[in-house]
Amino acid sequence: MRILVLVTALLALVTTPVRAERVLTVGALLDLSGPAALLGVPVKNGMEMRFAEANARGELPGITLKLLAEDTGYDPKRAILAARKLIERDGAIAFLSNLGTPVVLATMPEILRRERLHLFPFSPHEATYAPLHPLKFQIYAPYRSYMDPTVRAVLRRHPQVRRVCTLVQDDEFGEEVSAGVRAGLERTGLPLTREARHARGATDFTGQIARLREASCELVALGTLVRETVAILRTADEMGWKPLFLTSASAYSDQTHTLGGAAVEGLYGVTNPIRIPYREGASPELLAWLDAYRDRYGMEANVWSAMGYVAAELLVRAIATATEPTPVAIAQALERLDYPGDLFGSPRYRFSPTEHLGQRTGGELTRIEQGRWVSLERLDEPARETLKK
Amino acid sequence: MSRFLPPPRRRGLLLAALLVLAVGTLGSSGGARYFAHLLALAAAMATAALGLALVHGRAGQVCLGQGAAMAAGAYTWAALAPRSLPLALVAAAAAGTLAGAAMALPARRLSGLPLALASMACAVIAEVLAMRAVAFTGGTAGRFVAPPSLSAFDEASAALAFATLCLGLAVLLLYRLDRATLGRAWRALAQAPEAALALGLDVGGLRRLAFVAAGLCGGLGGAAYAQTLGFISPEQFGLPLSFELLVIAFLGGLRRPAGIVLASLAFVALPELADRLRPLVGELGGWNPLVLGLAVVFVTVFRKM
Repeated sequence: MRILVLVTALLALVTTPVRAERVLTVGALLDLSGPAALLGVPVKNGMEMRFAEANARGELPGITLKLLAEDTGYDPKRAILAARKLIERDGAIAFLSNLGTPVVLATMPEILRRERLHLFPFSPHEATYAPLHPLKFQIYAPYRSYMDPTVRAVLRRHPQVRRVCTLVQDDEFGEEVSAGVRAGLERTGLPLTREARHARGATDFTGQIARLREASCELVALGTLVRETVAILRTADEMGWKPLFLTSASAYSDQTHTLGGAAVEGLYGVTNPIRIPYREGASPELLAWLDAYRDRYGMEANVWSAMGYVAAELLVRAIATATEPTPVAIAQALERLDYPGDLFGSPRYRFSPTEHLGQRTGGELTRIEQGRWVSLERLDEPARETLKK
Repeated sequence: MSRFLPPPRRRGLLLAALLVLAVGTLGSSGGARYFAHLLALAAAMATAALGLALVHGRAGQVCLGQGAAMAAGAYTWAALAPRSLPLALVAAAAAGTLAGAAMALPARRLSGLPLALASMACAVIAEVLAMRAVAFTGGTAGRFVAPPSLSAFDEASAALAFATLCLGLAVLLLYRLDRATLGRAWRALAQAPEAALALGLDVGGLRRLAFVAAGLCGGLGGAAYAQTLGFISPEQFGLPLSFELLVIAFLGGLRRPAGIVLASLAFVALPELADRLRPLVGELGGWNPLVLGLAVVFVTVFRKM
């Protein structure tokens, strides 16, 4: 009898599933030392912070999340090697917020071939969500898509505007912004009055401004980066010309108003998709988050930290509802996910088995008022055909 | 064979480099496949750097545009490999040779720093061409290189085997050229250009030939590089790559294939080692380039020329 009890007890011990803590490794190919290190470090911090919270609160029973960020230096060769290392040595099941189009385009084919998730990369390239692949997802809308509702929103606020022009950088980025503006104008029935371009890295815009002024443009849509945007608005200001200006999310940065001062007052922009987390006027929740971030990293959070945090949030939610913690099951959970928005002003993110781009509106229309970006309204959906080239 | 071994004076330093490599690679232990990828990349870089060793060690010139020859080889390989592997290899070598010939054009009139700058311009032009010739290169979006379908090998081993083949071909080429009359003429040119001229050697022609042969090595190296990485894009072949190759050739000793192979091994192993040391330094941006830079300075200062 004693033996029977012993055997039963032993059997029970052997057959009881021991819930071992499983570590899920998430990789990130970030620029921590190269030209985009100013973005890479806060993105990494934001993701790390969300994972640490999930682990501390036990949000994912039996699962510990681990973030491994590799430094690419914005170099595709190093990125490919880093991706292989994360897959082969560390067994990363997902890549989150990989940074930079050259890095993303170089590493995505291999990551997908090795059946790992490729989530929310910082690249506006269409290839990050199309053609549809079960394991790739994106939440940042491409320029072509969000400039359409953005330009229409500005025109609704200024119904008297009849002459719309563009001034864009002479490359693919500028062309994409320009295509989005043209789509928006088509839907409102206005023609594009004049197009001007500038070389990458240009510092003098007097020629372009003079030509646009000659065409009596009332709204100028810019496909330019922060420094160029500031220079253009300053030049126009110095020449005493005051049309409406609208810029893409590439210049939605606190640097724009810090550098531009009075010359950039009234500039329209778009968040795509998250608000700059200003401390002044922040909600209590946002303030608490900003404090937690500062306590953890000894520096102030910026919009990139918030983007990293939100990307990690989506992944945590998907893992929580996935049937098992595998790439395919997590992808299916993402397809069912409906994210209503958050304290950072994220738009609603929704995916489906046929749609892996979480939002296409660009988020909110904003304007620089008294030296800071102020959110004005939520943008509506772009035309479906805008996305087709 | 003794030609391929470094002289005893320098052996210590090279053994040290080997040690760095062993520690670095074993330490980071990215697994066998990852290790094969690293070795393949080192072989590809060494193949292209051998060409530079020829230009400098033999013709006494500096080439800052070897990235252009690599780009030519890489894109040709990517385009033709799906059809026929041998054809693609020959075509990649030919494309590299053509790029080398283009860089050789200024050598008719120039030498020294002006020639180095002219070759640098070639690297810049090659990058721009790769961006614009979208139909052939895929433009800035880059081009995917299909993994080889050799059933006997997995992807990483196949890439390593191919890169080793390319390296072997380049070493063989250098060895043959060295033994030929051409090799002796080059040596004369490298050691005493005025004397070579007085002997009636065609100095300009010899320089151009060195660039052409270097281009061939670059083409082979480019093919191996493309196959190893599986993805190529224009910015990979810009000036930084040309300078990396020059550094490898310089550290390797510019004359001996074995030295260059070791230098390129150290070049892929050092970042791995730096990664291992990272926990000691914490979040320090630019840590890997810093370690690499310090190693280059150290070797340059302490090796016996």
